[in-house]
Amino acid sequence: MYRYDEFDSTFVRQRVRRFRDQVARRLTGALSEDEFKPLRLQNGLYLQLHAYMLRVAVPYGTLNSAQMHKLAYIADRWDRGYGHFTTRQNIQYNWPTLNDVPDILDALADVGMHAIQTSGNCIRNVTADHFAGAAADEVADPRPTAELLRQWSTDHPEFAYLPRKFKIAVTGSPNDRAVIRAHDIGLRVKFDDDGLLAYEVIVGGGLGRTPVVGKVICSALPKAHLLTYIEAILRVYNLAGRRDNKYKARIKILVNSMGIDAFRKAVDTEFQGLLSHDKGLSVDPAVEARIEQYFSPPVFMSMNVDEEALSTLLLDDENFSRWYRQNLSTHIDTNYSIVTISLKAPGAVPGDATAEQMRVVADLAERYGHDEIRVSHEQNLVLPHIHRSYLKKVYEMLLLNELATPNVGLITDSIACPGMDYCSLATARSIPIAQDISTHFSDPAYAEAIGPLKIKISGCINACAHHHIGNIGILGLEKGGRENYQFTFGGDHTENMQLGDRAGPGIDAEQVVPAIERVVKLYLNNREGSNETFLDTYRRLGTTPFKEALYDESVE
Amino acid sequence: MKNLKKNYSLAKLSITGADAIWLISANDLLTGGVVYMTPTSGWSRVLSDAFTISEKSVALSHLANLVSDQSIVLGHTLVEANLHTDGALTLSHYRDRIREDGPTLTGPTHQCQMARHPSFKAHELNTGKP
Repeated sequence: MYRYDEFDSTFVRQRVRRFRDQVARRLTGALSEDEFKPLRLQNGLYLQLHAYMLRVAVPYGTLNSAQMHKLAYIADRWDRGYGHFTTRQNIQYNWPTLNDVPDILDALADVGMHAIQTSGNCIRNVTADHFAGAAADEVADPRPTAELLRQWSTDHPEFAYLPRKFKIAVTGSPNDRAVIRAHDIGLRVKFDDDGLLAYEVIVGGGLGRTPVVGKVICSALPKAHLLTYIEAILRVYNLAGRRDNKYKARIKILVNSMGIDAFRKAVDTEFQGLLSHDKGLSVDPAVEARIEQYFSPPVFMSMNVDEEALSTLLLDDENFSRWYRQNLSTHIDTNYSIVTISLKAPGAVPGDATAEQMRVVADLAERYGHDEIRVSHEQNLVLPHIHRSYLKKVYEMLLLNELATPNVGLITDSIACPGMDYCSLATARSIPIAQDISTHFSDPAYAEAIGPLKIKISGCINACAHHHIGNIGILGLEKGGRENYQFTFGGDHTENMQLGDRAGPGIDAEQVVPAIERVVKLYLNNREGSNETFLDTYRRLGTTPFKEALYDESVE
Repeated sequence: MKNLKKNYSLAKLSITGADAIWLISANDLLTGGVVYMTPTSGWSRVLSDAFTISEKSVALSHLANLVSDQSIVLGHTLVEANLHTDGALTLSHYRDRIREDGPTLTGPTHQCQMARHPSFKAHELNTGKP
């Protein structure tokens, strides 16, 4: 993974020193809140319902064990012993005090981390496929691209005050695990017709109050032109994006109002201008090579897996066998597996990990996983490189620490935003809904029988939990002074991204789980074989029977 | 799950003119914690210390005078409440009750909060019933 050079380290330390001074001046009254607020937001510090919240960037979701240990240390020393992994691969601490934040930022800088650009109308943390560098279906590791974009966008003077926040995601696989069509810019690394690495560039995606599936603006951008083209997109947006209305300020609104063809033309004009006047933004080949080198795969162990011994272990332990079926993904090296660590135990808060759990994951990565950890946008953690001979040992350690729930991709693997339990923008709670669902469907055999089913729960229309693209999406609102939950069906977060269909009026919180149970039973009773997923059945049957099951309490 | 269902019964109370009163709340500058303005124009973390104002227009006037002073608190806001005959205060809206009582969560990380901070308020929310 990328390691800070002297420039990076100096830059981050300077920012911490400046913020320490700013905090001191705020506390003495030398800075007013109006003056201080943009400064704290530039350092990831929000004020939420009951406390400050510090959002720490995890670039492209990649951590090493030292970084994870540091996150655990921060949770223990300055927060309440846990952290919350978010749908943008970041971690949030919910209880820091203002005067501790500079010390937290200094601790982060010790391991090459920071909270810069995790807030504000700038280019936010660049996210990537959480299986990057490990997935069998990968064309190329997306992280060197994400790192290049991180370096280009950090403190970019022209793009520090965009009309609105700006999010970029990158995948290197045809199977999209990075939700690139729901980002302001999505990039997919691919081979062009000449067999050269190129990018499919998608623009204007986003969820929130106006959900839009991103559109292809360039089907095969030569790799060398990446920064020039992205700069051209940002320039067009920066100048033409609306600043009069924050709800209409995202790039998706601009792309929709101009039309993708006109937007593409404007970007092409800017792009050609950059190429002709400035020869574009070329990257020093030495810098590019250094970044690539940092993401070269680890030296995988050549020892073969004793398949017979592994089969015996699987036969002897039904729970291990279920975890093996559900939480592993195919690795590029057949002796290895990608292990997804569920942060969705029955009744748990999706995305929360205690400091002790963080330390366990860090130790496992160091001992068995080539020192690599990933954070997924689905609020789980990933050990991307586990030799299959070590799977049982890893499983047992996870099991001891309530990290071995065998539910990845299943009905209990919900994602949920913090909702009104923490967030000052929320209109309803979302975490307790997720907790109720994971408790109700806690029988792992039942969850496995239901099969793949993505439930995504947001506590307001800002859609941090991506409810529009959940197979079942749940949106918490307020109606008549009560929490009220609207449903969507048929959303798809993959490369075939589709927005869900709104079912109708919302229902009360206590009706949510029984309604989901009815919908699930409808699916189970009507699916054509166990391989037909919930989404397949929904697409075959259409919305009507699912709506009926949602609202009709007599349906069983 | 049963605990959660209890919380789900949260609802905005129907406010009658005689019962509705107003408080001024904010967040503590150092911790971000919820505080209420007291009758002596100080700030207290304790709800029952809050200065109660019967007229919304008067409360708004107080709020307008306070918002410019963010030296020790920030995020001033008006909070609607009910004053019961026994003197107890009930916050009218579920958002304000969650804000007052803290996250309504169960689970390991919540236990983590409770264990580490014994002073952290109980998560069971007041249902608003006298």
